[in-house]
Amino acid sequence: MSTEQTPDTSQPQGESIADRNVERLVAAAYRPETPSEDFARRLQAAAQARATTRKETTAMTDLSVSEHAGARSGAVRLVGWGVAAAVVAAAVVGLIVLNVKAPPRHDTGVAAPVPEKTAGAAGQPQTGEAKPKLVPLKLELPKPLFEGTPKNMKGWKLAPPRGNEPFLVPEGCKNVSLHKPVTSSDAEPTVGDLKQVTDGDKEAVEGSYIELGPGLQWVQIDLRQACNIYAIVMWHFHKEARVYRDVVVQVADDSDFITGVRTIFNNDADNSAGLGVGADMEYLDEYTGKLIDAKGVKARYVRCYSKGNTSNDQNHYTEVEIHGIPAR
Amino acid sequence: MFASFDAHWRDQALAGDPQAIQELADLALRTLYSFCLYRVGNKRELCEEAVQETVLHAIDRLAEYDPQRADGDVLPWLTGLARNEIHRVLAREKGTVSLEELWASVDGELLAAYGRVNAELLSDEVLRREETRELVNATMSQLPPHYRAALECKYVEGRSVREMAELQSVSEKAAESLLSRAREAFRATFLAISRNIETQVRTSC
Repeated sequence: MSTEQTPDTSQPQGESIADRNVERLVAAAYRPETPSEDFARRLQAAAQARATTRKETTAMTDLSVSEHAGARSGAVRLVGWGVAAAVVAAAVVGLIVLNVKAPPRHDTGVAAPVPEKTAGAAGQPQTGEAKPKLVPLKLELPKPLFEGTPKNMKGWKLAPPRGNEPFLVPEGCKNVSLHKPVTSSDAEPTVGDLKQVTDGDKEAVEGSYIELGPGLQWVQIDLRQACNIYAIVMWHFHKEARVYRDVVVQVADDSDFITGVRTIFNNDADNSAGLGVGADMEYLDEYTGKLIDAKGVKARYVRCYSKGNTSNDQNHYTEVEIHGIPAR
Repeated sequence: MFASFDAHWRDQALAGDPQAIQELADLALRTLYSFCLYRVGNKRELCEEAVQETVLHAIDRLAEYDPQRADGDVLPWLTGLARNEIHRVLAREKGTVSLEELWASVDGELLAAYGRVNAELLSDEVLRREETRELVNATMSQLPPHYRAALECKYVEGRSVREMAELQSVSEKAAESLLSRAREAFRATFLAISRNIETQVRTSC
């Protein structure tokens, strides 16, 4: 390279060579990198979605705190809340007994244990109306069935097993995803049919689960109408001890996941799924299912992502249950 | 439109006001992007990740932002959050982000020309070199935002010192003083980075 080309050396009064070089460098060579329009759009969408989620979460946390306070005072009074307290207590006692004596076997009507993060924080949409009564979420659990030798997961930081507290949801909350249409990033599963994701069969046997291709894949459930969602329970494949990777659960108002996208759960610690970094912990897939506190978020579509598992690169879904109440 | 990132803006943002959130994201696109880009080795995908995570964390932690203490300037708080994200990204990408990679094609003669920035006018050819563009961009990204803005205002947009003073609502003397400090910071940073590259090039040879 030659630097012998002679630049214009005329120098305005009071300006040093150094100053002129700065001017020349910034004016001639400075080409600030600008973000792509696509990224600008994505950032705006992600920021708006996060702000909406934050707002809803804050409102629901406030409401939940007040409801728990109300529940405590109700327990003291006993009279007005007698029936509800009895139901909750029976469920708690039932769970404790089951837990102490033996693992539950195809338990029906068992109060769902709480997820690791929010203990029964059944969020409520703010409607300004009377607050509904909270009751334990009842799940019909499949038979526990771990086969084979579990992978060595020593040193893994997995979410602890669920506690035994009941997971509280508003009275009237039900499985709104049963037999609802399912779509997927892999339209032709290697094993099974997509409708099996919402057919109510959670058993860890052949014919109960679907297998999607390797890499990042999702299944999406259309609830057919906007619902206030309180809990999402997923069973990937609980026949052996596995951890599914990059599990992300999002909800949205449209089927293309453009409007009102909110992330309910994300344990992708390194953004390898490209949906943002999540702070949730990885977990062992078990017959109890993965219960995610959706805090009453209002949405019509639910999408569950995963990216392989500790046994292979495939993605499996035995059942996804979405518990909520159709929005008014 | 919010006049600044003041208490009113923060209240609106905390309430999820789309306009307030959009302004935060716009600011991140305007300023954080360049702040992050060269700090993650000029890798766009890493930069996008750092910027997006910074904005999302900022929304999550908005209650911690004190507009009064920050005098309505959210950028220092935002860049503080961005540094954490950059640190996280670099820790993960350990060994893949380096100036050495960025400056693989730089030659000794060019580095020598950079080293004489205080003594000799740079030739047009040096100014046209891709490496120079990278170095200037990297230098600008390291400057405090008000210095970068002053240099852009004067040398990219071509405004006079008087216009700059009017824009900033300060005296001409204050605007000139800011510009002078910005040039000084630019030179010091430009030299520091080029010397760093020179050291790396020598070490690798």
